[in-house]
Amino acid sequence: MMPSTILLQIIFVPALAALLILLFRFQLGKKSGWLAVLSLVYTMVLLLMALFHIHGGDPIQENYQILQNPDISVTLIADGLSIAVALICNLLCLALGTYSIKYIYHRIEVLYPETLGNKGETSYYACFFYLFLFFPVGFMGVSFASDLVLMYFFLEVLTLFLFFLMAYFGYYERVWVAVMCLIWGIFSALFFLAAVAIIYSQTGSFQFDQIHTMAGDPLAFWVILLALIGFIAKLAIVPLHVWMPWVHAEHPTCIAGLLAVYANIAAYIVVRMLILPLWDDFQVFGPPIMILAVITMIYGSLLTLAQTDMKRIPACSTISQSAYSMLGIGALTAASIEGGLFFFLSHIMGKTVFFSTCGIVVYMTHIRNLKYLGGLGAKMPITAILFLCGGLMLAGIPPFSSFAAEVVMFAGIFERGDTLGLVVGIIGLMAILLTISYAVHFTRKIFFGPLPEKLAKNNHIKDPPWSMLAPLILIILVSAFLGLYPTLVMELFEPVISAAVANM
Amino acid sequence: MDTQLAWLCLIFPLIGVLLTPILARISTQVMNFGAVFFSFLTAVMAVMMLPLLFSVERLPLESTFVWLHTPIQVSFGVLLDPLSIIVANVVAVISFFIMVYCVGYMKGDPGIMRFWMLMNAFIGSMLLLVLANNLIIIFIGWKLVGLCSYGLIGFYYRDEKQYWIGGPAPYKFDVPSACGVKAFIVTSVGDMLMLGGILIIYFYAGTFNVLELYQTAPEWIPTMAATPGMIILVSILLIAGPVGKSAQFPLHEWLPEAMSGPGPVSALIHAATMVKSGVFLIARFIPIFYYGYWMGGVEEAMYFFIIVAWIGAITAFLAASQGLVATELKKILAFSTVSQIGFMMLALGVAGFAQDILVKGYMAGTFHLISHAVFKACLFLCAGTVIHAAHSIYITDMGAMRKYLPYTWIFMGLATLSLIGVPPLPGFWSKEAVLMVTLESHHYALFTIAVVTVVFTAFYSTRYFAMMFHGRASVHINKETRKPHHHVGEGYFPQTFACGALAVGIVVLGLFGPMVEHSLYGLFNYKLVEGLGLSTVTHVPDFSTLLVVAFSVGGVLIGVVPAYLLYYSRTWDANAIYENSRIVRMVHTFLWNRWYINSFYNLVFVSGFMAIARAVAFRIEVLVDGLIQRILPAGVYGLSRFSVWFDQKGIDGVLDGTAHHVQNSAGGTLSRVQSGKIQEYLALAVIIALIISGLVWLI
Amino acid sequence: MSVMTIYHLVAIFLLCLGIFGIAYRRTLIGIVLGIELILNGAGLSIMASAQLTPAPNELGQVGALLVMGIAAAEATLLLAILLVVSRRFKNVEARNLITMRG
Repeated sequence: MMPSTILLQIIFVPALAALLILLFRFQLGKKSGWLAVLSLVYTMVLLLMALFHIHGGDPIQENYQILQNPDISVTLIADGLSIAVALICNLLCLALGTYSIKYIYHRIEVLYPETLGNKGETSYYACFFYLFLFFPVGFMGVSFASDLVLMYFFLEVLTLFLFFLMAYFGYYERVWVAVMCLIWGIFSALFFLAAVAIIYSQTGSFQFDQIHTMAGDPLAFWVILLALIGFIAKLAIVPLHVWMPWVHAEHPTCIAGLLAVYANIAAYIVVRMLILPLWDDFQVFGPPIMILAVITMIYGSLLTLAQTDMKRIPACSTISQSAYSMLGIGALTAASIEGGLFFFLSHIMGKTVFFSTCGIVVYMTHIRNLKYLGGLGAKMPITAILFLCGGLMLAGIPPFSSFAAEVVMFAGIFERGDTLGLVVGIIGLMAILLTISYAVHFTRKIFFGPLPEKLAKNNHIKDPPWSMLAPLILIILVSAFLGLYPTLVMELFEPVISAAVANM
Repeated sequence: MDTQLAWLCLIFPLIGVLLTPILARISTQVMNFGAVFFSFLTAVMAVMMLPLLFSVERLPLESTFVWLHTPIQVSFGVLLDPLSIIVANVVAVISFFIMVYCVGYMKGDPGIMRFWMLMNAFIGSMLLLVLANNLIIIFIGWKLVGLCSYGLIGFYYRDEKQYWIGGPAPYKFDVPSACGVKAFIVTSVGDMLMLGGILIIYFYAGTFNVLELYQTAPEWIPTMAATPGMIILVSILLIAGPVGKSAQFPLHEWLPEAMSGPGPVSALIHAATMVKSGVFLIARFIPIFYYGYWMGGVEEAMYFFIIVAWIGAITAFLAASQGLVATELKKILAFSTVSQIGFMMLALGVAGFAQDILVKGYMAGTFHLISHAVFKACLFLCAGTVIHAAHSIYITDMGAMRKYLPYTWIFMGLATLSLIGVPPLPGFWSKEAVLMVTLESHHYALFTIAVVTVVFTAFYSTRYFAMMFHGRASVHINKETRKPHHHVGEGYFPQTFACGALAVGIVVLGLFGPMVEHSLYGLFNYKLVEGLGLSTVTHVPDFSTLLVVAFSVGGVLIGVVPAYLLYYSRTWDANAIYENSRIVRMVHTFLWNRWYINSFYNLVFVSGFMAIARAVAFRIEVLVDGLIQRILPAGVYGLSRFSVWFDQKGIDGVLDGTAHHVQNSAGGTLSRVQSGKIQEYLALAVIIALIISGLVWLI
Repeated sequence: MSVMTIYHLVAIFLLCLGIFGIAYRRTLIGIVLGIELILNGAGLSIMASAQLTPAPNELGQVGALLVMGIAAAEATLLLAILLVVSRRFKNVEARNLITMRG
């Protein structure tokens, strides 16, 4: 029932669709968006088939020989952890693709008004979608890669296409911000590459399942350190977080959720590449990561509270939320790692909803400064509810999945049993309080209270079309479902993480 | 069958939430009916669980599904024991009557669909909290209740002027949306700390299940006690949750502001249900810590009871004192709620002080929970009617309303008498039980505080009642009644019906007070002593009941008489006393400003955190951002400019210089050989030919 | 000093005169005359060598005729070049024809 090349298809069908959009952009016109969505629906179906297969017991592995001599082959592996990550990432790409169909009109209108109504507009429209489709390619590739080179390749694909998307469709100073994003992405990728090089020199192989053969080697310390520096830059953990407010605020809102994934997928890579194979060598890094993470949580939340720009609010909040996952991962117990990764998945869902609703407000009112906003709940009730749900998804309120993630994660942190776990755990819980504060505070500032004159008179402010709301509602429902039935995700993680940790 | 009743109690409100939007499409009437119907079904399910109490040996019952089995074990199920059945009934039945009231009160409100959904969701979450069998599901119910109350308190989210509370001018007003935010954040402080406590217990006990926690206590409490200070830490963390949710000191400031929601919401949330959840949870924790101290010999476990009892006493005193001078009707009732919950906490706290008063304290706290829920709900509902009739939230704007609101006068009067603690109403029985057990614990300081609070309660209750229904009509009322279509009168029938039903409940509960007390005692005795094996000593009262009654009634009289004279018969002049005595003025200001606690919190936490946030954003972030994003690239550009200079001057210079020299100097010299003169060329050719031939000839 | 030596000395004397003429004469005609002198000297040397040695006499005679013929042809060529040059440069002095200097 399941095609034998399922993983390859999942990765490359969007790329194929991108090619089609590029070649036939003038024939497709405005429909290129729907073609993109269609390809993502197809990959979604494939992923669900894979999920059922893996849930039943065995991981999927595919091997493609590219050259006989020298022996170059590509292996793709899907186990519980990667399928969960891939599924949620694909869901978000699908949702954001649908969301973007209407949103991009607005950007093109603002940025390239001279092209409206002629071929240039179609060209830009298609341009967005064929750049966008490489994001799912990158995410799926990172999830299913079985060796380091492949993973690096897909990470760079993501960075590159992010650069182009930002440069074409971003907000203020988009080219500068795009260049900044590219440089930071390459900065972290270089450290990753350095680690890869050391691994290759010691183990003679790029495969993930061979990394553990260098456990105990003094160079393993350097591998972990270099890779971690790269990933700290990627995850925007203090002090290497400074690019996040700029990039996340000035990029087109329709890919906001994807940027959150782009930053956070480093958490997944850390677990795959560093923690599971090099468990003992990683122990010494646990406490510093926990402390950095908790500092970032507090710093990020405080930063968010002070923001007055609609788009910088979710941008700064990503800084603190990525740190939650790292807190769990740094605590180094099975429960905390699983909780941390589950929180990563919940965070990206919540951030997508949160950011996209901010985008809806900007799209409808063309105002970014909080000073001029207020009382929009009267005109945009559904958006208000979605925004609040997004905030609650970030804050870890039941019934959303972030609550289950939080419980598992903190149970794991306290499971460490030492004072550090205790102190960091309690401070972490209080930091969540800051997230709750800014979620309800901004909901109130934007949607509640009296409606200012200017906004009341504006008749264009209403709830956006269904193509923008439906995907967000879908994500909220998925998150609620996972929150009510977290066993699904935890059972997927168990053979990968708990079993591995138990053997250490 | 029995546990299925509990599941149905949870499912019916959920169905109500989901069906409300669908029913709304049919008509408003149908939607109203549907929403109330589901709460009715829930109440019926709850009542049907009551017979279980009579065959108490069969309890506790449990039914579970696995929610998470890896990496931590959490199951989703219901637990039926005397405590949960009683509290579930209190919640479900009172909620039903409040829903009936809402049909009348919320008539015509444009957001009524959202209201019904939130109310049903609230009832469902509260029942989830009460009936759940493990701490995580309790916590989920806890958080959901907080969420629903946020939605309900901030219900009038547009902040129209008529819904503002606070003031009167020139004092600050509070808008509903801000009040909702405040409630949510303050309770979340407690929630997060409680979650920490729960998870730490999980680390030691390996289970979240309440029954398992009780049963395996001998194993994990000693392990936890091995780390010094751990049990105190866990006690504080666990108590933080109820302190937040039940609005006890120091997290009590959200409840007065929560009055910005619609009247019945205040009744539901702040009288009957949400604030009781803290008391409920403390009652759930008592067996654990009691075991720890009395049977496990862990010294630190006593701190749990000490903290609970003292927080209860302090809060009771604090809130009651603030109620003495407040002028907003609902605020007075809010302070009264906080104070009464303090009584419940006090009773539960002293239950652990001595082995012979465990059951008595437990019973007293629970009994006061029941009686308070009934009469406070009635009070809030009647207050809603009166406020609506008088078109003002201040009791100074009311007066002599008895003739306009006869029924409400009766109902509210009964409830107020119960609050004061006048026999034979239930407030008297329950308060007397609390005072009794406090005295029996030999903590006379706590007892004194409790009695003083009784005095205050009596005073402010009489005060507001007299100022509302008796005395002279205020200017405001006169203005209102002179309007042609004034509605200074009873509300719609559903409202009167609901208040009346609750009033009847008060009377019935009062008449059967001693019987109820006795049967509760028996229930809890069975549960705690026989069911859980907590050892107690048979109780021999050291003090006679009459002594306590004397204190109680005495306190009531000390409170009622001055209030009567000041506000009812106007024999003493309140204004004159205020103007003449400086001390009275100072005390009044202090109490009016709520002991300055609210302003303190606003300053330190709200303004403080916003200031820190701004400092972080505009100083630290700008600094770090500037350092990494501007100075570093600037440094790199500087380096590249140096490199360019070097490239141009250094490298290019050398090459260009060499070429120049080759071209000009050497080249110049060499090119002079070619002069263009034929004869020179010829001569040169000949000479060279001769030389070469000479060389050839020689060699 | 044999007879042949004297003849050869005269031939060398003519050669040197000719080289001197090529190098030092101001006008182009002078250079041509110098070239003729060289050629004649060469012819004399050939004749003398043929007559006064056991080599066949006819060789020398034919040789001398060859040289004279070549000299005549060459003189023609040189005069033609001279004509073109004098027309081109309006000048017949060698030291003025220096357009090809480096």
